[in-house]
Formats: sequence, C-alpha cells, structure tokens
Amino acid sequence: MAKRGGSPLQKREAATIASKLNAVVAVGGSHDIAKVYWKGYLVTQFGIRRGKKSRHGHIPHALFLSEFKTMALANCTMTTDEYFAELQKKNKLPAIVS
Amino acid sequence: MSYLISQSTSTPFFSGAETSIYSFEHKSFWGNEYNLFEEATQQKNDKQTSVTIISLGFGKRVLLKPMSLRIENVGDDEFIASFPEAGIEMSGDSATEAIQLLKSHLVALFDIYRTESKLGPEPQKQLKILEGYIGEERR
Repeated sequence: MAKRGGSPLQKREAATIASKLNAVVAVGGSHDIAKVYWKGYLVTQFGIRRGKKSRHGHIPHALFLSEFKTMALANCTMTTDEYFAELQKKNKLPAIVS
Repeated sequence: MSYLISQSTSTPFFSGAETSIYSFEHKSFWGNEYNLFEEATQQKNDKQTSVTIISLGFGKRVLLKPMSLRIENVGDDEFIASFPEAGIEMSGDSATEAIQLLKSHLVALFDIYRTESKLGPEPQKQLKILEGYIGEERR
C-alpha cells in the first residue's frame, strides 16, 4: 500500500514561522514550544521537534490554518498581519475594549 | 514492572514495533524508564486509531482520569497524535514517539498556561480542559 509522504512542514519551516510571528520559544527537554502572542495575549502555540528533517504536520491545526496557508506563512506569501487577520475572522483573538 | 491490559493484534497501522505502544516497560527517548499503561480502545481503520492513556510519565504531573488520544498515520514517517477534546496535536516519526511527544507537550502547556497572565480564547479553553485531566502528584 502506497503511503503519502507526510507533511511538507519541517523544522526549518517551523522555525521560520516562529520567527515571523515573533513567537517566544520555550526550550523543553523533548521539544521546544513556540508561544504566539497578540497584544500581550498568548493566542496559540506549537511544538518544534528536534531533528532537521522532522515533520511538523501538527502545525496547521495549532495555527488554525490549512496546510497550504501554513506553507504560505513559512514562505512569506502570507504576512504576519494577514495571519492575525485570519485569527480575528475565526474568533481566535481576544476582544479588547480600548 | 509492567502491565498488560490489552493484547494488540497486528494491523497494517500498528504492525511490528508499533504494537509495543500498548504495554511494556518503556525506555523513553530521554533515557528515563517508566511504565506505559495504555489500551487501544478503538480501531477506526488502518490509518487512525484511538488510544486511552492513564499515565503521563513526566515529572510531578499525573493524569486525574483516563485521556483519549487519537493517532493518525499521515505519511511514511509521520504520525500525528492528538488530544481531540482540547484540539492539541503533536507529530512523531512513529506512533510511540508521537504519543510521548504529545504527553510531554500537554504537561508543558499545562504549566505554561497556568503561569501566563493573559490567555487568548483558545488557550483559555485548553487550560480549562487540561485542568480536568492533569494534576499534581500526591506524596
């Protein structure tokens, strides 16, 4: 039985996304955790595995995006502002009264 | 000491070494030895399986009640373990590794969320669910 090749998202893409979203990376024993903040609120997080070639198919779910859009975020065709606008549309950002 | 509560059958999904997640004395990826006490409760098809865990095996955190996880084989060398109730996922090269990483991730998130002063809607929901499952080890 032929199997799919797994997620195209690897550690490099995970690190790129973390950096692009200004995530705070908490270093752990088995893996790191990228904490994504918006206006001081922790709005989401994702795990970054050890190993250059390690697959990160869990990231789209954590970012509330499709795999295609997650790759767009990693490849810079989606901006940080566009990402947070997506989160806003999906009600994943806190309502802040100014 | 190890406990066997379910004898797995060989399937295309959990064949060979993968059957070992069900029960055994496990030497973790981080060198600590602990027992896994798990049972495969449901097998949906050859790519997705549900597993109920009753221990975390990390630090001072314990499970307060059994936790249902889902494991999906998404490629030749990628498995995604998820805790669907809270919407938390983690990948691994094997089903065993994905489960171990997810366990570690859940414990880490539990601690992170509890120390953050401002949580967004999703982390708030996840923390509430995790608090129903994870607690301190009693001495």
